[in-house]
Amino acid sequence: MNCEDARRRLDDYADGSQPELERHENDGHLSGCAACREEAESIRGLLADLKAQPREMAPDADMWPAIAERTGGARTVKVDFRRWARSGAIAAMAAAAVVVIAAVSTLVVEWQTEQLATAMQRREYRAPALLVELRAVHKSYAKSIGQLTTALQHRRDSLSPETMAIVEQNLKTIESAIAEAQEALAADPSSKGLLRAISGLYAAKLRMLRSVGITNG
Amino acid sequence: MTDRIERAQRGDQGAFEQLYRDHVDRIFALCVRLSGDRLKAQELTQDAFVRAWEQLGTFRGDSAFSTWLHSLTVNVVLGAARSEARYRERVMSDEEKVQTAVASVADPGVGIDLERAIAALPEGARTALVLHDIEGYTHAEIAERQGLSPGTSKAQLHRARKLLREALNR
Repeated sequence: MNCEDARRRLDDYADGSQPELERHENDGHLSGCAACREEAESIRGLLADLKAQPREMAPDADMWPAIAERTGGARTVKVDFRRWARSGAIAAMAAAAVVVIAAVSTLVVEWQTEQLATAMQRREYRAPALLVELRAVHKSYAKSIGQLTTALQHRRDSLSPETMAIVEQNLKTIESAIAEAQEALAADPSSKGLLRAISGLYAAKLRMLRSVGITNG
Repeated sequence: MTDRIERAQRGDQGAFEQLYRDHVDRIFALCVRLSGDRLKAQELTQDAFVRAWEQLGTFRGDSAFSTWLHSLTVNVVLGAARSEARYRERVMSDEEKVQTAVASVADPGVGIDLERAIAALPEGARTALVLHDIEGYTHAEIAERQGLSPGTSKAQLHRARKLLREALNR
């Protein structure tokens, strides 16, 4: 091995990623070549310094206020039926709005899934298994969302406008994330990671609806 | 999955603030090194946590939360870099491009420490160096995130190490 060959491999040699046979060849050359040995030591020294760099740095200012503002200040939803009992008319209007939102969400989910399926087929996507899986994900969640909508009807007196505002905000955030993930999946139809992400978002939507204190059926 | 993460997933911003405080120093360091600019890193750190809030529902506990957040941050930073590169190509005049490049490089006349030398690297070289030599990514992982080949990632890393050693007079 000459110096040119040895130096071409020095990066991998110095960071230990070289295959064993090549490493032995480099060892042989370096044992007799001071210049290449010095080069290898220089790279190793740099790598040691890089690894020793601290993994954390304190920011110059607290960024939480800006992040809190951008994330909309959503709060934990706690349901206290005694405290939040309202007049029948107000509770009925509030519950009706939530039912409409949930029902529209279901329709939006159906529409988005079919749009995505159409886009995937249009691109002559040849992985029907993933498409079937996507439809199955949608089908399983659409049923639960529908059941929660019905359950909500029976609990309308328990909900306050404050609760509804939070539910609406959270639904909006999750729907936006689902739309983004489905758009990404349309661009990259082979991504199982994106399919898992969409499934996770539907699950988050269900958890959010359940956190209002209603259950399926 | 911890109770704090589950509460944050249900919309508890207090729980999410705790997650922010637990991880911000690590995420900020990553953003500083990848962007080479502390001011920009502040914005990128905010963007990363906002994205994490929006996508919390996708975290299923298959990996550590810190790993998930770290990966998300890398995507945010690299995405921002691509957008900025497209903007520079479309909008900036050639003169502005040169001025920006010059301004982003540390003054070599001043004693240059390692962090400043990393910040002064060209973007592709800096990304390869930070992700591989500091954060421990493989070339395959780096290449996948940037839409490059592993060979290109290796070449960028070689360039970064060479430039760093020259800047540090090693």
